[in-house]
Formats: sequence, C-alpha cells, structure tokens
Amino acid sequence: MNEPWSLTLDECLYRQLMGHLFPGDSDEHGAVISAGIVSTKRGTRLLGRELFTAQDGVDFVPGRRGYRMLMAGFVNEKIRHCRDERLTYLAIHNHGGRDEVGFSDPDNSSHERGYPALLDISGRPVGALVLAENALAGDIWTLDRARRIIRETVVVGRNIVRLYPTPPPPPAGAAPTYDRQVRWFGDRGQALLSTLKVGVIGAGGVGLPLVTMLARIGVGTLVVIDPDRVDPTNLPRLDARRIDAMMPLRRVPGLVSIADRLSTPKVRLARRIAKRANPGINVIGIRENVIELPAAMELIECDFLFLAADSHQARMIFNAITHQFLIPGIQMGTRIDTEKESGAVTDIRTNVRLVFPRTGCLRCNGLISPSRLQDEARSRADHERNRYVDEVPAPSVITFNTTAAAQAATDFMLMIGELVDDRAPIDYLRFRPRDRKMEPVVGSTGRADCPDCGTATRSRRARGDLVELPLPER
Amino acid sequence: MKEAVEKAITDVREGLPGHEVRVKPDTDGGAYVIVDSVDIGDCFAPAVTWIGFQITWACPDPDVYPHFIDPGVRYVGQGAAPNVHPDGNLPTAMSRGHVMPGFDLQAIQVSRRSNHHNAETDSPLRKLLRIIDFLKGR
Repeated sequence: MNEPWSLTLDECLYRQLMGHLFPGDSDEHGAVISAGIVSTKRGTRLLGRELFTAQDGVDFVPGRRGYRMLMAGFVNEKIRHCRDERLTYLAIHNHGGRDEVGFSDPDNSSHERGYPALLDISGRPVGALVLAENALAGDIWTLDRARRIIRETVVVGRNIVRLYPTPPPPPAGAAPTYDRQVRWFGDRGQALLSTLKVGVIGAGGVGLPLVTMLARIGVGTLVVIDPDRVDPTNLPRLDARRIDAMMPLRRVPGLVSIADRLSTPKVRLARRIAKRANPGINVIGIRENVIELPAAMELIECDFLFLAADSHQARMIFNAITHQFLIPGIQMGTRIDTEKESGAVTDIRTNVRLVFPRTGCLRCNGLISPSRLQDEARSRADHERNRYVDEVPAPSVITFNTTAAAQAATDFMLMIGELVDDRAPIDYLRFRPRDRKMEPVVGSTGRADCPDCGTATRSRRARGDLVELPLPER
Repeated sequence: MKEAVEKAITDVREGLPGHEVRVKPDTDGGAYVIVDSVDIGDCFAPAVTWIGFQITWACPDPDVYPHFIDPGVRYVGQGAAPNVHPDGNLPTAMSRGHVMPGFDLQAIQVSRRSNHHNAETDSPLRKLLRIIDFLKGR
C-alpha cells in the first residue's frame, strides 16, 4: 500500500464525531470508525464509513495505564464487525488544545500492546486517531506490522476541510501571475490548487469552458475524458478552429467520412486549451467512454470530479465513484424543452448539482434513468435496429453551458478554499434564463437502502477497493 | 458474464421451472436470454411463444426492455390493435419487423418501459412476469 496515507471523512460523520468528542466538558471521549480503503499511485486513502460512539462510563472508562480506555467488549464487537465487513478499524479519542495533536506515550504503548492482536483478528489494517480542535493524527498498523502516519485528513462537505497533526509550513509565494487571485484566495489556497488532480468527464460544450477555467485558476492536474471528436455542429460552442472539424474536407463530396475520422479528438482540444491557459498544467486526456476501466481508474485518483456528459451511464459511474471513494463532485447540464409540433421553446433550465457523500446522490434524486441505462448498454447495432423512437440531438447553446461551467468552477474554488459559508445550502442550483432567475432545488436527502449512498450494509459508500465499480466486462 | 447477470438468469430459470432458458453472452458482461414455451394467453395465436430479452452488464440498474416474441404470433383478441401491419395488426406497445439481438431471430417487439423501476426489487424475472401479464391482459 502506497505512501502517503490519508483519511477522508464526510462532513456529516465528522460533525457527529466532533459533537461526541467535544461536548464542552473538556474531557476525553472515545469512538470507533470503520473505514474502507483505496490504494493508488498517489497514496493510500482510508475512507470513513461508520461511526460508533463509545458511551462514557460503559464503553469508555478510566484506564489502568492511561487516562481512559475503550472497554474490551466494545473493542471486540467493533473489530469483529470490521473483520466481517472487511473494513479498517480505527479507535478514536481526543485531546485538548487546537491546531496540533499527537499520541501520548501511554497511547503509543497501548497501541504496541493491543494492535498486533487486533491485526490478527481483523486480517486488515487497524489503527488509532487522536483529535483536537482543528487537528488530527493517526497511527495505522498494516499486516506487515509497519506503522503508517496519517499525513492529512480531508473532510468532504460544503467546504473541503483539511486537518493535519501539526500546521503545515507556509507555502512558497504564488507566481506573480496569480497576484489578483491570491489577494482573496491566499498563497495556501493557490498552492493547494496546484497539488490537486481534478477529473472532467465530457469535453463538450460544458466540459471545455470548465477545463479553461480550471486551468486558468491554477489546478495542477486535469483528467479529461471524452471518446468523441469535434464535429461541425460543435463549433459554435467550442473554442476550436474550423480545421478541428476538418471543414475544408467536408466541402468535398465523398470525403465526409474521412473528415469524421481526421477531426480533432475533444480530449486533444482540451489539452490544447488548458496548456494555452496554463502552460504548467498536467493534462491527462483519455479518449474513452467513462465506463471503460482506464478512465475509471484515473478518476478514483482525483480529488474532485466534474460531470459534464449527457449519458446516464456516465451519471451512474460518477455517482458510484463519488460515494464509493468519497470524492466530491458536481454534475452540470442544460435542458431546453420544445414543443414537438411547433418547435416552440417551453422551458430552459441549467442545473448545477453538488454530489457529496450522503448529499445530492443522483440515484436517490431520480437522475439515473433505468430505461436510458438499458438503451445505452444495448449495443449500438441492436439499438439502431430495434429503436422505435427517433432520437434527435438535444438543443444547446454556449451561453447556457458557460453559466453551468462558471458556477461549478466557482463552487469548486470556494469549497477548496474553505470559503463557503457554513450556513450555505448545498441544494442543487437551477438557473432559469428565461425568467432571469436562479433557484435552489431541494433534493432527496438519500435513502438508507440506496446502493450508492445508503447506510445499509450492501451500499458501496466509502468501501473503496472493497467492491467493484459498475463497469462492463471487456 | 457479470455475477449480477448470472444471478438474474438463475432467478429466471428458478422462477419459470419447466421452461427451457437459452442464454448467449453479449460482449460486455451481459447476456441475451430466450425463455421457450411461454403461455401468453388466448388473445394471441398461437398462445405459446418464446420470449427474449437482453440483461445488460449494468444489471440490476437498467430496466430490462424491450422484450421480443415469435414473429408468427397474431393478435386474435377483441381489444384495440392500432399497430397496423400486413402480417397482422398488434395492440399498443407491440410492433413487427424487429430482430431479437444475440440470436438474430425475426421478432415482434414488446416495448414496455417501467417508469418506477427499483433496482433493489425489480429483477429481470419480475419484469418478464409483468410482460407475460401484459400480454395476457390484451
């Protein structure tokens, strides 16, 4: 399992934990978290799934060697639960103070006495966390008896909050080109952006303006996924040249299919646009459908995801990755309804949907259509042969697309900078350009039995590598 | 074939005992399935046909549709048959001139989407039973 190790918690679980550890009595309290795990070339992430609070005086009692300890019965029950669910056991207590925290000598001694036995029982990594206000340290034991430090904890919610055992050193000053941005975002925020890996699914009318903005604000690495090439009908919405759609060839009778084959892949266009906006950016372009394994594997390494593709398969895999790996995301799209007969516009709405663990699940909100999934999964040949409804391209225009992209990029930047107001709603946002109106859309809070975000045993939420992603077999 | 697809096929075999179930894997981990000798009621002649469908790799999330039946089936019931065809008119949601994928059999398509599909409870077997009920109710 690769270094460095980090921990990701959803905001809801973190708030429950902090409420339990710091009720205002300045005393120590205890708990256990079960966690999934994912190891990528960027490191190993523990993913908090369940919180079990230890009741004071019953499960968390005066210790024989230290100040307090978890009772053997409580530990036994939770370690066996983690073994059965193949999750990582993390024992938790708190210290006083803020911004800095570490294990005491009695803490470390108790780990050395107890954790080899817990490893034997669970057959998976085990560990301990200690929290203070705005600080978290972790001591993880792996099956090879090595001890790993939690270098960073990320709390995913309306803000993406980062906790450390000790405050990280101040970053080097940002490049002068970011002067105007750093004046409100700070050197630390700008440095953080440069370390992030951000996934953009779809490099079309919404995805490409978004790529431009993310590159310009200073994101370090972009993963852009799109299987398509530029076609002539894309040109009014993309920052592309006519040659990208091979327009000269298209004027020659019989060469249209060659033009189709030679047109610029959208991911290459995305790279060109991103590099022009920020020459230092690293762009990983994947010319595949997002349901293909190489694309999904890049996405699980990302710190943040944007979904700017229309397909319901893309929604399904995006929603699964968001919840299974606790990676926050934003889905964007515009819908223009027209009357079938007259073509008159009846409604225009642009949606920007925040999708976090336990919040905004696309499945719970009815935004993954079972019929569309079936249509998309049937082979193209079968679908063509048997379809009974003529499909026409959806209406689209660059102005609505850039509205969605700009709001999503703004949301991302404010979350990363921890600048979203604590009372801000995290509902979906809907723009109605005809009414010159923006409105929140209160969605479902999530079903307990949802296979993506639910609390039920079978859900994929925070399970990381422990369950398969919903991908086709090749 | 994906595990969920295999399980769905096992459900179909167990839910319709005595019927031959033919299966061909598709290229993505799903399968084409045909259930033989299904009674679809007296409104059709013959009243017994095969019913085919595709369980795609994303099972159990997609709504399994459309279904296909033998092209030789004719509607002989008293209800409306607005889908006009020289080989015999058919009730709503049924149309001629299709092909059962995987097996490449000429077929009548029965296209019934479920607007309230629940992946947890609406299995391919359950959908098939609903299609049989639909046909019997014409």
